[in-house]
Amino acid sequence: MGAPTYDEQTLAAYFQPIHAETWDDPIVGPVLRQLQQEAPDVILAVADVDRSQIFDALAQSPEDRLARALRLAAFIERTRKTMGHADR
Amino acid sequence: MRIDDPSERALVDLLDAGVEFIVVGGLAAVLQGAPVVTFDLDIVHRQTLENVDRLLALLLQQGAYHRLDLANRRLPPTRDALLGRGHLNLAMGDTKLDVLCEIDPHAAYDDLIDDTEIVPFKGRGLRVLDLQRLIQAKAAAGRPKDRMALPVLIAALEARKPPR
Repeated sequence: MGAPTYDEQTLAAYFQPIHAETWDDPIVGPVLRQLQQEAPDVILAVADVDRSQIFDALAQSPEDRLARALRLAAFIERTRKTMGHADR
Repeated sequence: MRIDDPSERALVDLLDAGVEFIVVGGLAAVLQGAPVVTFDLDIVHRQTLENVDRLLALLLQQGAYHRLDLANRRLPPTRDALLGRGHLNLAMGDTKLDVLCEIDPHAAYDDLIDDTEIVPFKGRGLRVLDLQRLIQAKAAAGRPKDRMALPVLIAALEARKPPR
């Protein structure tokens, strides 16, 4: 699937590489440095995360986030069953 | 209060039974704003005798059994297993409930408690592993499925922080 086609300012608001201060986080910083050595694709993939979905989730209560995620999971499971896939 | 989803019901039942536990895994990420899909409920329980007995009583009452059993014997969880160090992959009604004694070596309930936050849930407080520690655990696990989740978790962590 192709990349989103918006102007650079819009894209920069929603698609961002790892922020500089995250590299300084006492817990996450060492994890990032290790990933950069062992799995650099993971580091690069952060810039491809559509943060509009995260902003939407953060605008909801934790309870609503959970309910939404569980509804989605239930929908996927129903669809898998309908398509004849066995449960894992 | 209407509760439709079996995983939500399981969480409420655990809280109302007085079980001390931490939500980890995908649902912990969801509760903190990460838009990920998850099909099971992962918890780490406190391993005191009293808490294990509360948890075991609830699991047995709800008919929980080990779902990873090729012979499909529906073996119930045991007190010894809940006091051990392994993972119990259970089915409880329609919920896939993974009860983890620790998330990685030397990361049991008491080791994780300082890296948790309480989120409001159905008029109760739900203890959830924070995103920093969750990212650390998933990276340490090193499995492809855990690594695939990391970019979204990292972006969610950054989105939750106020801009400097």
